[in-house]
Amino acid sequence: MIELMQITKQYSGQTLPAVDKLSLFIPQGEICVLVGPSGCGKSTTLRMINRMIEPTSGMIKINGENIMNTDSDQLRMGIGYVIQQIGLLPHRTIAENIAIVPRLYKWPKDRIKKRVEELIVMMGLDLEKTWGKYPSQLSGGQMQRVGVARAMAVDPPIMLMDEPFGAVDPIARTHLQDEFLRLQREIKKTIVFVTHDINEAIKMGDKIAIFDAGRLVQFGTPEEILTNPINNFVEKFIGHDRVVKKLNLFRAEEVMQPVGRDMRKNEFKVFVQTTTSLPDALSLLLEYDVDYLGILKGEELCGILSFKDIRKHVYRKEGE
Amino acid sequence: MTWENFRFALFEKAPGALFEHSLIVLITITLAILISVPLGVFLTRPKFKSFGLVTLNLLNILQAIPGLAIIALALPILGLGMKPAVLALLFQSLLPIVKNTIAGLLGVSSDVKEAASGMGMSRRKILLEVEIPLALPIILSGIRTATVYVVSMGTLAALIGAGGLGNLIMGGLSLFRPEYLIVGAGLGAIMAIFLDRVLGHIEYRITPPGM
Repeated sequence: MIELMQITKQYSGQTLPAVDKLSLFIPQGEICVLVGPSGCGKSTTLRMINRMIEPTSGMIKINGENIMNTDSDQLRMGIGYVIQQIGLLPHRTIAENIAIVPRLYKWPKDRIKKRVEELIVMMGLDLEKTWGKYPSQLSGGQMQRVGVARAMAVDPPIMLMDEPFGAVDPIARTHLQDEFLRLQREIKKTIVFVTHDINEAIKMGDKIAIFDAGRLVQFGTPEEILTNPINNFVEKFIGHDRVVKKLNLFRAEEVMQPVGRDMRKNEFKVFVQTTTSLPDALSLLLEYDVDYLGILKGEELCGILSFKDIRKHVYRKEGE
Repeated sequence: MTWENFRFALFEKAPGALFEHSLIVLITITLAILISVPLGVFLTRPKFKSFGLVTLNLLNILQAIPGLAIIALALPILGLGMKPAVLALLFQSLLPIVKNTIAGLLGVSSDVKEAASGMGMSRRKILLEVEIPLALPIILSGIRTATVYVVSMGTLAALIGAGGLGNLIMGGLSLFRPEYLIVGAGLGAIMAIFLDRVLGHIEYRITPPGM
C-alpha cells in the first residue's frame, strides 16, 4: 500500500504549487487511476512515489516505510515504472531491455534468461521472433508490451504507469487494456496509473482520483464517481454521457432476469452472452428494435434482458 | 626532376618521416581523446552545464589561433622537438572532439534516460551503459575530424625539429627538389584519407545495430 500524506510540490519560479497538500491512500492489490486535465499534477504525483521528483513537503510511505529513508536507486529497482514514451534502450535487444532490472539485482544468467522468456510469452509476443530484435524493429503496440514486461521483470509488488497506453492507436490500446486487466487479476499488483482519458480511468481503475490544479477533487470507485460527481468540475470532466458510461461497468448477467426451464430459445430473436457489456446490449436492443434479448451462457439460455431492466438498474444505482 | 631523387625521397627518407609523423598524430590524438571526452562528459552533467558555453568559447579561441603561432609561442617554453609540436596540435584538436562529445551526449533521448533512471540505474551506470554507447558514433566522428586535421597540420611540426612528413616538404622547398615535396605532401594526403576511411569504418561498426 502507498500512503501520500500532505504532499506539496512547489517548483521555484511558479506561484502555484504543482501539487498542493495532497493526501491519498492506495490499498494493496488495486489499480488507482490518477486522472485530470494536463498540468493538474497527476504525473508529478506519480513521479514523487519513486522519487523521480522529490516533494517540497509532506511524506510518502510505502508499506509504512518513509520512502526518503531508502536510497533512491534501490527504491526504484523495487518499483515497476512504465512511461508513455516507453524509453526502451535502442542499442539493446528486447531480451536485454527486459533483463535490465534483474541484472541490477545481479540475478544469475540462467534465471534472467528464464524470466525474460516467461515475460515475452506472458505479454503475448512471439518468443523466437522477438527476443533478439531491437526496439526500432517493433511496432508501437509491441514496444509498449515490452515496456510493461520490463517493468514487471523482477515481479515488483508496486507498478507506476504514466499513460502507458497513450501512444498507441485506439484498437491496440483497447487490446492492451483488456490484456492488462486480465493479467492484473492474476498478479494483483498495487498499481498507480496516470491518464488524461476518463474512459480509460473508468475502465482500468478500482479507484479513481480526479485531479484539478494540483488538488485532489474526488476519490472513489468508478461507480461512486459516475453516480455522485462531487462538483461541477467533475461532472464536466466525466462528460454528459455519464449514465451511459456507467453502463460500461456492468455486464448483462448482473442486470438480467433469470429464467427457468420453461422458456425456449425460439421465443427470442436476438441473443447475447452473459459477459456482454450493457452498452452493447442496449445497442442491440435499439438496432433490432426488440423488447428483450435472450442471454446465453455458452449455448444455454439463462436469462432475459429488457430495456426496462437496464433502466431500473441505472436508477437503482443512482439512488443508492 | 629525376627518378633518382624521387626514389631516394620515397625509399630512404619517407619511411622514417612517416613513422615520426604517425607518432606525432598518435600521441596528439590519444591526449586529445583523454582530455576532450571526459571534458565533454563533465560539461553535460547537470551540475556543470553552466560552464559549457565558456569552455566551448575558450576552445574556439584556441582553435582560431594559427598552429604556426602556437608553435612559435611554445618554442621558448618547451624548446625544440616533439613536445611543442604536440602541444600546438593538441590545442587545435580538442574542440571537434569536445563539441561532438557534448552533442552526442545531449542527443541521447531524455525518454531513454528517464526510463533508465526510473528502473533504478545509477547515474554512473546510465552514463556508461546508456549515454556513452549511444553517443559513441558522434564522438568518434569528432575524433575523425580531429585526426585528419592533425595529420595535415602536423607537417608544420618540422619547423621546430619534430620531424615527420613536414621535413620532406620543407627540405624539398629549400633544396628546390620537387620530388621531396611531392612525396611528403602526397604521403600526408594518403595518410589523412586512409585514417579517415579507417575511422569511418569503425564508426559504422560501432553504431548500435538497432539504430
